[in-house]
Amino acid sequence: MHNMFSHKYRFGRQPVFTLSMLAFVFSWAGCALKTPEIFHVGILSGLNFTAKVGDGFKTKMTVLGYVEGRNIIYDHQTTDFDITMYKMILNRFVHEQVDLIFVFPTEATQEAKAAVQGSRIPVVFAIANIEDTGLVESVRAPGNNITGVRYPGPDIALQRFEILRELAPRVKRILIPYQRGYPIVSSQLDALRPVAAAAGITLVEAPAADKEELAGLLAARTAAKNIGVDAILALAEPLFVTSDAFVVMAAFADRHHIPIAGALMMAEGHESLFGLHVNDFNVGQQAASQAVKILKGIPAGSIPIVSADPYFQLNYRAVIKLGLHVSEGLLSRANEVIR
Amino acid sequence: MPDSEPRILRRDATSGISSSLSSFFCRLQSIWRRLIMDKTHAPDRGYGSLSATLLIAFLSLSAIVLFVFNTFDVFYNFRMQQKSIAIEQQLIAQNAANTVKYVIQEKLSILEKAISLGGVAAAGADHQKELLNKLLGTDLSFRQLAIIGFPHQELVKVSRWSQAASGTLMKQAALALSARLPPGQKYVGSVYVDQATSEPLVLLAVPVNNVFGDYKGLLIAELNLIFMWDLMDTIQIGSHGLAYVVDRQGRLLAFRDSSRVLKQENLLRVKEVQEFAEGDILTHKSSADIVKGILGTLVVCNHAHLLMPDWAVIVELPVGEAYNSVFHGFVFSIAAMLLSLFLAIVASIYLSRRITSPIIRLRDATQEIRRGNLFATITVDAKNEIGELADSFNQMVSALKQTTVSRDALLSEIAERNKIEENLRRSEEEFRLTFEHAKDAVLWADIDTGLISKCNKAAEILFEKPGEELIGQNILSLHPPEQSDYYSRFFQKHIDQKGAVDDEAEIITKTGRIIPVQISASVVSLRGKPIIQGIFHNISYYKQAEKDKTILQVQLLQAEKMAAVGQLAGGVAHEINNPMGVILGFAQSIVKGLSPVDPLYLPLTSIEREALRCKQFVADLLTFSRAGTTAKEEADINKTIDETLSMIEAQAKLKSTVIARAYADDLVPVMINKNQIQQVIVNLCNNAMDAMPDGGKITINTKQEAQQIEIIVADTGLGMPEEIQQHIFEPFFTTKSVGQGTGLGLSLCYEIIHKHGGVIEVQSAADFGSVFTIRLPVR
Repeated sequence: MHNMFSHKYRFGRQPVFTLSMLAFVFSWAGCALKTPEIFHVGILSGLNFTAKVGDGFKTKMTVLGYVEGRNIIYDHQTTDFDITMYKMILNRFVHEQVDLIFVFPTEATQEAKAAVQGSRIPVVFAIANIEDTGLVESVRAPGNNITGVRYPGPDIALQRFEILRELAPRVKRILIPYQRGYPIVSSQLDALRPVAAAAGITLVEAPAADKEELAGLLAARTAAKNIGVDAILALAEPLFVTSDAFVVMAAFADRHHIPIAGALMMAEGHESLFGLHVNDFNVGQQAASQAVKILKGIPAGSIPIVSADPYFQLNYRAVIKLGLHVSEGLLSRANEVIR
Repeated sequence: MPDSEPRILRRDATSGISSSLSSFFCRLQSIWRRLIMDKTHAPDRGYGSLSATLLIAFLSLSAIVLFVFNTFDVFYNFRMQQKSIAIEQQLIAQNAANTVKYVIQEKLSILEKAISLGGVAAAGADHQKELLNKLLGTDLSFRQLAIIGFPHQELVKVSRWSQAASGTLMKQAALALSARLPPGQKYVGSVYVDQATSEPLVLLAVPVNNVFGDYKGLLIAELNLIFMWDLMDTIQIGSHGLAYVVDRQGRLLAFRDSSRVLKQENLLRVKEVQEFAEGDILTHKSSADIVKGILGTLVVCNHAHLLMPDWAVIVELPVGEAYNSVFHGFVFSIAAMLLSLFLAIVASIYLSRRITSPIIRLRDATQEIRRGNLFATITVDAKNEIGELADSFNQMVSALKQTTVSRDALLSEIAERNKIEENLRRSEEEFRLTFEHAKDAVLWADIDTGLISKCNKAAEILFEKPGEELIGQNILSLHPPEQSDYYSRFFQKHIDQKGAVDDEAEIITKTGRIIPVQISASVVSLRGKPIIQGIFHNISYYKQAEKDKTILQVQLLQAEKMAAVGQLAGGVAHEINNPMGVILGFAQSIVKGLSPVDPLYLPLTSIEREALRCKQFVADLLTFSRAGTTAKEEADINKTIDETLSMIEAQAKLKSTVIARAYADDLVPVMINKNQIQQVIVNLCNNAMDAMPDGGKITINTKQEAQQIEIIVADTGLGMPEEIQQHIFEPFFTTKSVGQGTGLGLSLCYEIIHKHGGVIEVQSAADFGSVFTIRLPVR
């Protein structure tokens, strides 16, 4: 007899049917789940002086939801103003098709822009001068799949000049040493020259290839009856922030009892009056905001360039030592006061 | 297994299912069909399966419940998710709005406190500048600060950037604000973007009053709103949600894509922005509307109003993400429903089995009983109505066994009777077929009245009457009337003897034809009553054959005679002809030398005359013996006859005989031996003239019948009786006196015509003349 309850039609194979159906249902449901994307970011820290930029970048990225090892991986490479290494590292980033390159300062950024030509890898820079470097087309629309945080070189140079004059109102001749041929210097000098002229201040420009040449220049002034300058003001360039060169300049200033200022440096008992720069950590954070926009799909070239805020460090000890007066307002504006 | 079931399954198997999933559903379908088509024991009565019915009922109920439940569940989840999204978005938007609002209000508050604590209204310019520098150092979000005095509009300004870079914007703005801003009122300006830094800025202004509350000027601050951009970046709305800030005019103030902000894009096309721009703030209801968002995609959108400033934070979440949980809920609901449905199927099958299993056993038992197995019982453990029914059934079977003890014998008897009936039916069928399809006519007739009661088809054919006409006739009427008495006696004798009788007889048909038959008559008993059964076998064929046989025998005899005579005549003629020639020669020679008065003249002339007659006789014999060896030629019969008649017409006139001709004109030439045919005509005419001693008329006709030429020679002579006619073609048969005929004339005619492949016939009657008919084949 055959009917539905015949032994042939018991449910011996039903578990197979059940599993098949469950597998079908859950595989269907699983289709809606997505594998989280992991971004690969290459970081090139091109100058030890600005190394904290990378820290600020990573910290802010974490705050913005990009946690290293979970949804973002960093390839953080560090070198100290070595163009050859810049190229090698950046080429490797391009070869590995990283999702984004974060690079600083200006020279490294210029190399990065060249390295990513022909690829679709976006570049975020920090502490880079956009004046006279051709990095971007405009502040609002940088183009070329690149954006970042600009270093406000000319304005910082002006502010350094204004602060120096506020601290030392009797200064009439200011020595401006800088590395010869450094590309971003000219824009700073261009900003300074008319302002200084309007204020009746003589800018004594002293380009030098290295500290030896600089030492020679200063020695010649020392040897002369009148050294010809009342103060030394740093521009945003590498020579002043190199310890050996700074020592040469600071020793000259100390010997002739003239203020040296612009970048906050302390070496071999010598120190500058103040430094006006940018906060590297904060700049890194600003750059992180830019990078997140890119990772969310906004073309880098359409993201406006942002400016780093100036960071004023006042060496009150050196000011007093030199017998200068600091107004309460200037003290209040200082982000950091060293006593 | 019923026959229909595997057929259905095979038909299903041809549907070509390849994948395992399809196989699974095919399997389900197969089980389903088995359930539906479970007609194992009643395949022809159209019964459905109770199991299937119960299964369908259970499944339908389960499916309806599951469907309704899931529908409500999905709908409820959707509504809840909608509310949840609205609340969540509202909270996010409101939180962002509060953040922006609190920042701006905090800055205003800082400015107000700086005025009141710093004694700005009474301070000099240097003091004011120092105060502003302190304020600039205190709060990094201030880009520039300025104090403009009232009424002389003297300006004190500090900037985070160099004085050279900050330009004259603040001065212009301060002058404009001092001119239009009512004393004592705080001000938040429109957002603008710094050209150098691309940062969003806004002007804040608070009144500067002295301790008496007199208006002494304005404290103006340029506030960096970059924090608002960062805030929009940091707001987490799902995975792909976003937020932005717009003002009452719909201008985009903050968005993660700052390039669009820099373009000062107007977003009034976004329904939520339009709602904010046109809507009443107080009556705004939070809802998660699905609209086209800032990116042009469908989003769930909501907004929160800052009030001061008059901006709004808009939050958007892609629809797919917003309702992702609903979708997943729906998917899992479907999965759960399918799983539930599967479990429902299993449970339904199990339950229907529990319910129908004892019923099926009952059904099987009843069918066993129907097939004669009275020992069929069922065991049902259920203590319910079905168990009660099973007990009743078993009791019924027990009672049935007692009342049907002789059933086997009865069945055997019925089978025997059925067998007999079957044999009877077969016998009757065989008899009927034999009776109706017999080749001989069969008649049944009442033994007392002789009336026919039944006849077969052959009888109808034989008597040329339909059965209806035959039935009711007396059997004596089937015979020629003149033989009625004979057959009456015949049948009476047959009845008296009560035995079978065979006899030849004649019957008369409806058309009057007399047909010889062989009758086999017998008296048989039909349902106890004796009847006469007559079988009439048509023997016409045999009679005709017998007659033909007799004719053939005569002809054979005649042929033998003719052959013998011919052979004899040839031999005799050869032997006689030569001596007769000698006798005749000498006799004639002697006669010529004698005078008529010579006593030898008469005897010698007699010898001459008789010798001539003998010579003629020998000539005839020779002709007779050589008839088949003569060559034939094509000749016109009419012309041949005319030539012949011309030779005998003189003789005919002497005997007062008229020869009449009646020829057909269109005779075709025939192949004949002309001399022999002429001899035949001469012989027939001579015989005719001999038969008309007193003269008469000879008529010769010719005509063509199909492939034969007929020559008819008729006379008006004495004619011949039948017994003479039978011998006239025999050699040496003659009715003439001795010396008048040789008896070879007609036999010679017969032989000649026979050798030509023709026939010669005679019709004659005494005193009516004779007619000889010759038929010659054309070819």
